[in-house]
Amino acid sequence: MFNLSLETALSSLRAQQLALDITSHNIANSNTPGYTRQRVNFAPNTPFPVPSLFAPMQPGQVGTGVVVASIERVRDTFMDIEYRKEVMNLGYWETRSDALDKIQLIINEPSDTGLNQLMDKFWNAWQELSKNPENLATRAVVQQTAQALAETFNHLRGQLDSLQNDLDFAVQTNVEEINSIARQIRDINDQIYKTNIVKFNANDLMDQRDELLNKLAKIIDFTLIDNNDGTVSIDIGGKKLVDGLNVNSFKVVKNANGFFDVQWSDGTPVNLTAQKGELSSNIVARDVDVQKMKDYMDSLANTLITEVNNLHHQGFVLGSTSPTPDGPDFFTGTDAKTIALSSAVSNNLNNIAAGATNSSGDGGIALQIAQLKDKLTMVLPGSTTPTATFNDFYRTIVSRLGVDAQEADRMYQNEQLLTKNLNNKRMESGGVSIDEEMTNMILYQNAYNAAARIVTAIDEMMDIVINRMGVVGR
Amino acid sequence: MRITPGMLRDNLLYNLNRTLADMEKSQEMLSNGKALTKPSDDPVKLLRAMKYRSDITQGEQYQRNLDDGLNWLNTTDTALGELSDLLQRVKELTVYGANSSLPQESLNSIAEEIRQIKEQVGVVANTQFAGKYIFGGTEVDKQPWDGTAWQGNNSGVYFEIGNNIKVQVNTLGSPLFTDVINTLDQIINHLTAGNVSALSSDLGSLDNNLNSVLAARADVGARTNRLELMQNRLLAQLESEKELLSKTEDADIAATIIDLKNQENVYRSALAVGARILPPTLVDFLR
Repeated sequence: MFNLSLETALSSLRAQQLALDITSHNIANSNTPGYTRQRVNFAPNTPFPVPSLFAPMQPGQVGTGVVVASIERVRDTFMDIEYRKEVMNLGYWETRSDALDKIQLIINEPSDTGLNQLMDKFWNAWQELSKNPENLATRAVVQQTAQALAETFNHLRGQLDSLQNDLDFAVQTNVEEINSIARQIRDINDQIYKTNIVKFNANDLMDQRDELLNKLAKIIDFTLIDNNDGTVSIDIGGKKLVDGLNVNSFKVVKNANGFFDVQWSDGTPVNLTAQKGELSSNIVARDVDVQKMKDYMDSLANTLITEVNNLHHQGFVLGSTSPTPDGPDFFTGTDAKTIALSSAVSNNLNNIAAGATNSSGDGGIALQIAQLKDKLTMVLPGSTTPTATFNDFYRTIVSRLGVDAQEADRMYQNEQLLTKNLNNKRMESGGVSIDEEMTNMILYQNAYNAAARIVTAIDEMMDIVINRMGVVGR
Repeated sequence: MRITPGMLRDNLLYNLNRTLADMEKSQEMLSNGKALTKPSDDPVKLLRAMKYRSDITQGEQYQRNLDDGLNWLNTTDTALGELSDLLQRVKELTVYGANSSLPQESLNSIAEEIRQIKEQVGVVANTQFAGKYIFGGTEVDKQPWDGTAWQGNNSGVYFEIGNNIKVQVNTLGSPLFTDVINTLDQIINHLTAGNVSALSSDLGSLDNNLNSVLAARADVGARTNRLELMQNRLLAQLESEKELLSKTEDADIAATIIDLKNQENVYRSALAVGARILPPTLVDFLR
């Protein structure tokens, strides 16, 4: 009888201690990202006696104490799926908004030093030259503003190039991250699989895996498949990156443009059509946003070079005695990267062909070049005929950049709020509450104390039996 | 609903960050006075602001072109006025020479004075504006009248004073001055030859010359009027464009300060609330 009570009290001591261990573990991890609080599920031990032919005759079954039936994660897996969906969007818009913001910084408009203002100054310089074509000072102004304009084109284009290279590097980094996460998830799958065989809940491992899945979601869009043996599989565009205990990987291959394409390790392309995650975003920013701006700049510079040179060729250099126009190239190059002042013009101010005739006061060509500012030379994006002036075109592309950046920024902020709220929802069930843990601690502590008291009581009773019984007449 | 310290912390951080971002925006607007600092702030306003900026820069250039043109025309008018005065004097002298039966010595001295006047006509023909000879067509850097022959050409000098509006600022000296000098040469010849009867027909040529000068002055006057009209219009236009640019681009300082104050209050409240809700847990009350 004493024996049974002692065993019962002992089971309680053990169970409450284990529960306190879990409480302690919860508190210790209250600030660990991705940690889910764990709960101890108590169950009464098998009562005694079990019905059988030889069961001792006694009034009824007596309980034999408590066991810890399971230690489980308190987690809302549905919220996890919702959360990951938004994290994919967050990753996409965060990266896109960042890239567009960088383009905006490069373009630096509206400002007194941007391309818009420089083009205006360039036209004005030609206006001044048209009034004073014989004057070397006004010629020098044309030369210097043209130089500044060409250098600004070079600078903007160079900055865009290096941004594009940064984004390309980010694509490569993303792929390395994905591969590393995939390997880690496979390893955890393996450990959880082994733990599950012996019917334990691999709570902490599952937390780790969920955290890795959240990290992966920020980079790439995937579908999670639960294999019902403790392992999960990750499906990306119809092919499995992680399949239970097997792992596949991505690789990057330089494409025709000199940038990285993402492929499966066997060389088939990765289907990234769903616009989610950082990887897609980096690729879109690299191949669309930056490329578009580069193309616009190139087409602007190219048309400027052609139009100015066409007129310049029809002009006469200062001091010319030639009967036919002898204007050299004004600009050389074909795009924003290569545009430069021709050496003829940069070496000799007289070689600016301002005149429509070879008389020194003729600024006819300079005036025509100045009037290019009002000429519809540029084909706006989405149009096929030239309907815009140089300045119109530039304004339009900068404004469109603004619209894109504004949208990306708004989406990013929305996603930030959304993921924060979803995370809160997740934490509502899974987060560690110190108050709650303290309450549990008191509960377990009291239960432990009470069980210990029972041991003491039984000890006292045993003391009576052992030391004070059988001493009649002593 | 369970609330955990993690949630409180996340919410607090999110709100602090958001308010800080708002405050940063307001402070930036106040420190540079601009509501537009990058395209995404307001792409539509940006489009307008950039257009206004271009228009203003271009308008200021037209303004300079107009000023230069007007100065050129004024110089021309003064020169033509002087030419007209000189011709009047020649006319007086010629009439005097034709009507009186003067001895040859007197005719010679009249001829001498007209020769001097002819020199002065040459000086007028070589009038310069900002270092340029204004009557020589586009040959602005050599004297149109070198004393014996006309060196300039008959090409116009055009300034742009509006979108694709060109105006000729120079007056072609070649027909005007060569006719005048021819007439003067003839008068001098007739005077020195004592051919008084021929002087009356010279007077007719002189009148034609005077009429040409008057016509040229009238033309200069008309062009001056036109440029002044353009100038006034441009001034008014520039003023309204500058105002529009300021309205589009500049921050509303009063409104921004009030916004900033509001954001500061929100930030302070968020901080205060954070300070109160974060530390206490049940731990503080367990002894």
